[in-house]
Amino acid sequence: MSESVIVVENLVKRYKELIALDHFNLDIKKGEIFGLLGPNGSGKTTTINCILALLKFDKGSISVFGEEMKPDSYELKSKIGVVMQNVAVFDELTVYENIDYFCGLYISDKKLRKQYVEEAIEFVDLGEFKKFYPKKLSGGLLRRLNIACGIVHKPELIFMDEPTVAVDPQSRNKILEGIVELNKMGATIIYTSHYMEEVEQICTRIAIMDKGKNLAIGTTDELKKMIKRNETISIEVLEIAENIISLIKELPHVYEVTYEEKMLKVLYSGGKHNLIRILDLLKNEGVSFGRVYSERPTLNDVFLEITGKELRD
Amino acid sequence: MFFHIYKYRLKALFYQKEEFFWNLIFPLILATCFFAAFSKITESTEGFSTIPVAVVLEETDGEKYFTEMMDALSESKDGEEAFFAVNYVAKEEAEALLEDKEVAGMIVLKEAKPSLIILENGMEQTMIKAVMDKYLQTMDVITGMIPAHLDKLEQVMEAVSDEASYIREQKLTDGNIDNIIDYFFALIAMTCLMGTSTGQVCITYIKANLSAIGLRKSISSAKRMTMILGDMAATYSLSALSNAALLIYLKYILKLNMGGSFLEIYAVTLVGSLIGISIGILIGSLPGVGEGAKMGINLCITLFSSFLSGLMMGGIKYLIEEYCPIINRINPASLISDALHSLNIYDDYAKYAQCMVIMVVMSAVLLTAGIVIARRETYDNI
Ligand SMILES: Nc1ncnc2c1ncn2[C@@H]1O[C@H](COP(=O)(O)OP(=O)(O)O)[C@@H](O)[C@H]1O
Ligand SMILES: [Mg+2]
Repeated sequence: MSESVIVVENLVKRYKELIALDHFNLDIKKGEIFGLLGPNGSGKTTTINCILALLKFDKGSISVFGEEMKPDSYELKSKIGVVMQNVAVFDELTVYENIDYFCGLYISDKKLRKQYVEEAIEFVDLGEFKKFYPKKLSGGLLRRLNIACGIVHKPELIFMDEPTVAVDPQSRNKILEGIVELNKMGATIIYTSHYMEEVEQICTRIAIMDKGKNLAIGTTDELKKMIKRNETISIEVLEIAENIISLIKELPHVYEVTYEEKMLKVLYSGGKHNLIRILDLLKNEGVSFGRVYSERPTLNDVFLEITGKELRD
Repeated sequence: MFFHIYKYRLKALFYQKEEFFWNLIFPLILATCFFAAFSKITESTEGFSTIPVAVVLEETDGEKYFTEMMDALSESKDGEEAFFAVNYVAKEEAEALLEDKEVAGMIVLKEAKPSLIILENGMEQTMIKAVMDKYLQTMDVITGMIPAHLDKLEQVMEAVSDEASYIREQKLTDGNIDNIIDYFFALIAMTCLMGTSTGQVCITYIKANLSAIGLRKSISSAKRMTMILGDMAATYSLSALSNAALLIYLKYILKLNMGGSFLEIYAVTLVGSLIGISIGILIGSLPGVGEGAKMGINLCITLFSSFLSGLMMGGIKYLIEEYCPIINRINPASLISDALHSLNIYDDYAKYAQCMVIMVVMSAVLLTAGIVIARRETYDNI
């Protein structure tokens, strides 16, 4: 596998009594879009702040591009871009000036800076709003400005901490597409979110975290394979006899059958032709049925099975 | 990089209309209020009146010249009022007189040297002080030059009464020795020390645990010191501008006579603002202290410093000078008002230079300490 960009080992971070990170481990490779998926308060932001040497931590080690990150590792910092959870722009400066300001903290050459700023504006599609002050921008546009300020200096490693919170669907899609594009241009991306769909959509690898612990790491498929459930088939049935339910339980790969509120729910742990088999069985037994749904597991199911609770709060 | 940060910070500061208002307009409004309030007082207290003093002779030796001089100044000449009304009394009685404000000051003569004790700082006290200084100075010169000269009494008398009439003259014509001006000096010192809060903001904008922008700056590859200095320079430029506006207003519109040239006074305010902002930067960078608490600390420093310099209650500075003079040497408000006073009353450039140098050195120390703390800090929580 390719080189590691970030290695976090046994990281422990306490806020007074509260243990925010509990022997947390990560190994992020070059070229990944790495997703940190976890509910609010699971420690995503804390992880990022520790990696960036903003927070003191109690135990463990962190290396970025093979080096220890310190507050004055300026060389290292120039390769990193961060889009934070909270919008951080100057209300007193226009869209263009804000982006130029933050670009200027990295790049001194005026011509290059102008080019980078223009490219960033184009990237987040804020061309029409260059002269606007942030107060005049909608939430989605403001988020896009926030992103532009974080990535304008073309960093190799980009942290994105919940960049889509409180964003309209249109802006959200634009942001997600943008992240994939940045990745295609060569940036390694660490993306945190509590929206599993987003993470599933764009991330090459995902770590599921809860209460400061890293519960599972892998690609979406790998994560889904980790759990028992592979397919859920739900069938509307008006009436069904107990002995038929017993028959269904005998079918290959079935591990759980429930019948509640005229809905028959069958959970499978694997197998390929589950739907045909069960529908055949129902026909043969003379059970009439209505609509049929077949669902593959989501990351939410993965989370549910690992932690015993829903990802959404 | 520095200029980039400076330029945008300056733009942001001009955009912040509130801040602009406070920095520029507020001191002018206060100055106008002071002026309106005091112009009535000055009218009613104009003219010279005899200054009552108590004199305590601790030793009988070497008092001759002194008492001769005091007696001479107590005589009314050419229809003018006498300069002093002298009471020769014992120490306890003198203290009682001073306490009851029967006399403006008490002079203790010991080993042929008079020392002045006062309880408040005003025009009369300044005048006594000036006469005593002249007396000592002349005595020093004369006794040093011609130790056994018989005529020296004459010379002392002459020098001192010249000084006395000069002072009296000034009081009548110029309004120069005038404690009303103290309030304007107070205003100038306060304007300078208002820099503490703007200095604090420079740090707020750099610290990751204090602002989202601070966080973004902290993770950038720009040196924190450059960012602090860039912001500070912009803040300082604004202070320099508002100082200039205040001085122009005082000198050319209210036509106050502050003594000294515009540039000399302006230099004091520039150094004063520097020390104010430096204090703010140091306080701002104290770890583990909340934003509100820091604002409180800054306000306390500003007010306490002004208080100790006697800007709210005269005389305190002189008490401190007697018991713990070091405070006056390092208290920013005292230094600012001393520098202005040395231009105004004493024309004392050595004192002026001393105050300025102390302020510059203190600013450098405070600023360095603040930057060192803020430069490499990581945080317990964000
Ligand atoms: N500054 C802080 N002081 C005390 N507790 C904190 C602080 N910041 C975060 N926490 C706690 O640490 C845990 C992890 O928070 P955080 O990293 O912000 O989670 P996430 O980003 O996943 O929502 C939460 O329980 C939160 O309440
Ligand atoms: Mg967070």
